[in-house]
Amino acid sequence: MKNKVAIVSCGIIKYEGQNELGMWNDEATFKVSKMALDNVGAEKDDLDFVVISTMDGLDGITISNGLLAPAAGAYNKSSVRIETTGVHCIFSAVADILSGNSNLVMVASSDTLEMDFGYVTNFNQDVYFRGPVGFNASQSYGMLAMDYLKKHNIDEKDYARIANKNYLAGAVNPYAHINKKYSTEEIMASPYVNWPLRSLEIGKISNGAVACLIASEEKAKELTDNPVWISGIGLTSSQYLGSWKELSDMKAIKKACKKASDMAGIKDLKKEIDLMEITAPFAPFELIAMESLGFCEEGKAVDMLNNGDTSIGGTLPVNLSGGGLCTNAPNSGGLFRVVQAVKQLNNELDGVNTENMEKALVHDSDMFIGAVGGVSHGVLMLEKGE
Amino acid sequence: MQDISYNKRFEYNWDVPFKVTLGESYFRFLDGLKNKKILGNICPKCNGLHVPARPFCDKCLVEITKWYETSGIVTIESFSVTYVKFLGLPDPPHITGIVRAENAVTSFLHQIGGIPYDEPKELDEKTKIGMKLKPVWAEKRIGDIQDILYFTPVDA
Amino acid sequence: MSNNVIKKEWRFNFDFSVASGETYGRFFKGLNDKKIIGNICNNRTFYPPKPFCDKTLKPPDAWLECDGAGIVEAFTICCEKSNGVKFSKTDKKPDVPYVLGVIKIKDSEHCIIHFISGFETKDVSEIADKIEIGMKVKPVWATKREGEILDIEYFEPVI
Repeated sequence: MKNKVAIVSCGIIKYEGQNELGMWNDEATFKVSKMALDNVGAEKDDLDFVVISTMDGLDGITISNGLLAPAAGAYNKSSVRIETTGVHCIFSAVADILSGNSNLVMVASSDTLEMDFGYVTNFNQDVYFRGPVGFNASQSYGMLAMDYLKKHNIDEKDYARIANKNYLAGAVNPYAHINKKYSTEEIMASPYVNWPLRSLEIGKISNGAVACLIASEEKAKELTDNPVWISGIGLTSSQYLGSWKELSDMKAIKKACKKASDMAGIKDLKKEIDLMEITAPFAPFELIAMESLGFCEEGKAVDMLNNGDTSIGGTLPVNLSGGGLCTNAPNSGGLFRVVQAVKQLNNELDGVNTENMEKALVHDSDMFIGAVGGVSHGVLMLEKGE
Repeated sequence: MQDISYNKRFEYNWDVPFKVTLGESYFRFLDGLKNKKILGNICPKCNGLHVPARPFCDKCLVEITKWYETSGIVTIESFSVTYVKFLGLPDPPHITGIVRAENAVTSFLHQIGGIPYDEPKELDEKTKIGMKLKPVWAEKRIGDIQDILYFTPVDA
Repeated sequence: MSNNVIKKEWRFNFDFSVASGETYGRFFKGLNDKKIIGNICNNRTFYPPKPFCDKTLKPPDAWLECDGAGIVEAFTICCEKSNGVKFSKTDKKPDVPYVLGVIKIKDSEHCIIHFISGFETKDVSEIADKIEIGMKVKPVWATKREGEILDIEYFEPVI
């Protein structure tokens, strides 16, 4: 990128189960936004622009930004609400900074409500074709999991191994919702929800809140000694009614990743990226995404998993946060993963050693509403630096 | 051009339950209503009184912790008389008011009642901006904004 | 969580009404008559029809019709009853486990999602073994049809 943009500060609270937070969205949003400002000694008046990520169906009120934007500091400021996830919000923040409009942008998101997620993700579908057969997010995960299983002739136990790897990471992450080290055997013993996916291979809905401050180069240097630079960002939408090949081959991830890599000047992802946070609300999506992002050949991600490459201490740790199985927050999950990657690059997390890690890739997507068609993927490249 | 003779109307419905646990500020405000008290809180930075109480001040983006018990008397800042039936609202005519407690920097929405009239249309004239109102409390109070049935003129 | 909290419950209860437009309208009228209507758009075949080609954004060229036979491209076996999801014809709410499949009708370039049934077993692993990718299926029609997707009760394997 010609001009530089950085993430200069984060605010986050520990994630919990549905309705276990004891706060409404506005209060949770306020807490993390204030935390992000306080961490770098900034004030609300320093903000130029506020971006929040929420969806009405998850907030229980329509046009929920009326309540939530001021909680992130938007009173008397320009602000937008984006329905698709964290990287999409950061895209908007980066655009406003690069246009010269803003120097400091707040991006915030929260989940505090309990609702019937299966039902909410059913009314994310059209009412002609998919809605009437009860199609929802969890079923779309089952279809992709089946597709990958049959295509690459792998073992259902491999899915349990990915889940186990994520639970081990989540157990040492102070911000993750699920902190229990489920063993591969416990995961295999959990009941099928959408064959071939078992209950412990699908993320339970999490509540929490997260915010980060995005700054121009000048502002970043003024506010912090350890900015994390945004070196590349790419977004791509998929088809809604496509062929199964189009719906399952994750072209959108590939394209978003290409855009982000080109912008960041990354030539060899595998060599240059030190760690990754991938939006994977169901276990095997981690494998699908790694292959689509180009970290290995199709069907080979399972080898990286079984070699321990992607575990804590591995050569390419994936989802050190515990991923979507440990923290599956529909509104704020994307931003949660961005903040986790920032904390990992700054080696701020006690449970994992990420010293000398310089470059991170964050994949984000709104596939929590259904992963088969009509999905938008985002890829964000982050770099530690002066 | 579309051949509209093929058009088919699809009717559908969302019926989704939501649950949330509100934090301490909203709890204390709603709990106050149970005891026939309208509580506010004061921003430590701008000294603005917030009624209903809020967890934070929108203007200063700081936490509000200092509590204040209002007299319960509010002033009409704006109002609208509704003459048609809306789903979830009382039978017409009814008055929705924006009311403000004492010198609060925030106002809130509630129903206004107890203004006598012969013809509904008179309510437009009889309801006045600046009018002082007092709360009419529900017999059974559960810690909800509806514990106040409506506000009515102080001299009624 | 502090003790000083208060729980609130409420609902979204909204009624909606939406028009199908001609393209989908023809498809749903077809279902009434046990026919699957499609179209050709930018030299590509679509069942159900598409109102526009999403590669060129051009309007479709011609209508097509077939009996609805197709192949299974992907599926999942649903083992958990969803609490909230209401099917538009409530009597058709399936008992678990049931199969939702991705079905490509004839030479369609996109797929639909529908129930696959007729396996004579309730064992999840057995059902999984019985479904092959590329397996041929055909629609089983509801006796009472109202011009909606559930006029096809489910798809069943073609033996």
